[in-house]
Amino acid sequence: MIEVNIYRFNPETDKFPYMQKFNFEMPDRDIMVLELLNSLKESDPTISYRRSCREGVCGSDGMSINGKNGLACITPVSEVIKGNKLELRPLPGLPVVRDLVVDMTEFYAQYEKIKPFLQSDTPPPNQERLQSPSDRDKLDGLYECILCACCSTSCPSFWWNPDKFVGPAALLQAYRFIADTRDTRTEERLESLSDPFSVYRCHGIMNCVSVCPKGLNPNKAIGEIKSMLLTNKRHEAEIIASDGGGRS
Amino acid sequence: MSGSTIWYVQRLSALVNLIYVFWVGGFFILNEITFENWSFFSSTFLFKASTSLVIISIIIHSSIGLWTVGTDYLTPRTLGFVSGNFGNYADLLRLMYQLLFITLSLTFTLTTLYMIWWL
Repeated sequence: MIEVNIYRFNPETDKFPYMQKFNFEMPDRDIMVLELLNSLKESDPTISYRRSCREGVCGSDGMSINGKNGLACITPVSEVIKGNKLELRPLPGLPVVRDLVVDMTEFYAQYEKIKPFLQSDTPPPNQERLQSPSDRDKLDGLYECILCACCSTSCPSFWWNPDKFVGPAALLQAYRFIADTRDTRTEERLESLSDPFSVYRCHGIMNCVSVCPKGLNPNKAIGEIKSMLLTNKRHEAEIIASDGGGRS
Repeated sequence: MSGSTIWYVQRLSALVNLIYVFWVGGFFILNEITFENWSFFSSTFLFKASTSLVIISIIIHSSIGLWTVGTDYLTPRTLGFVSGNFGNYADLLRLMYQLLFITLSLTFTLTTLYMIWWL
């Protein structure tokens, strides 16, 4: 039997949020936090949380699990339980819609801001824009992000300035397109990040790296962006892009 | 001012401060600490000029750091986490915080420059 404490808040009936205690009989095998939640929901259908693929691909069930952000569907209870207790809260820093469901508008607004799509000034080829294997390798560790928001909502800079600081998730995606040799808008992308807040509010505390359920390193991508902003690399990248470098 | 400029200014001012600390620290380590030695060292033009530079460097460095603190914590959003009413006064509090910093910076700078060059 373990003690599970869940953050509860229904704006239609509750004036303030509260923690609700549940006693849960663990099965003989280890289970994921999502499975535990699903079992509790059978007894109390009012518990609200997002979930979809239940295999760490959709990024829907990000939440704070015993104080650390993670995906409920791929987090085994045995790995996170402390003193026979489990505490589940919504992702920190974002407005709570209900229970463990947060309003991700600010998160997606930052994602939209970095223009997360390939932009090329060169004429489209007949079939597709090709890339050399070595240039394609530069995107490893960047494209795998599932936008679960675990990283951005574990970042204090994002808590304080979610409207100005782009946040680790969107910055990882920004670098994914900056690093893409098929994209020719490197200068424009960097310029849009050159203000004192968008990138420079990252102080490298690396919570994002610690919590990423996909094992990605947004801090490294942010470091690359800062490095390009601080040196003349952006001009070199622009020259390479305008020369059609990387296309094969 | 761009983020890169602020980044460079903060690092450069930190470097100036660090060199000064090593330089003055070196004086204390390598010399016998007597009134005559310290009086001679602090009356040289090099000491006066470098100390004046460091005063300005400290003000620049701290203004960037404290501006970051102010725009992180003294905002309607952050203070609103404490209390909704408190958040309504965030802009006023930040203005008072900035005025306090400017007053203290000017007092510190003018007092130090006066002590170095005119006392």
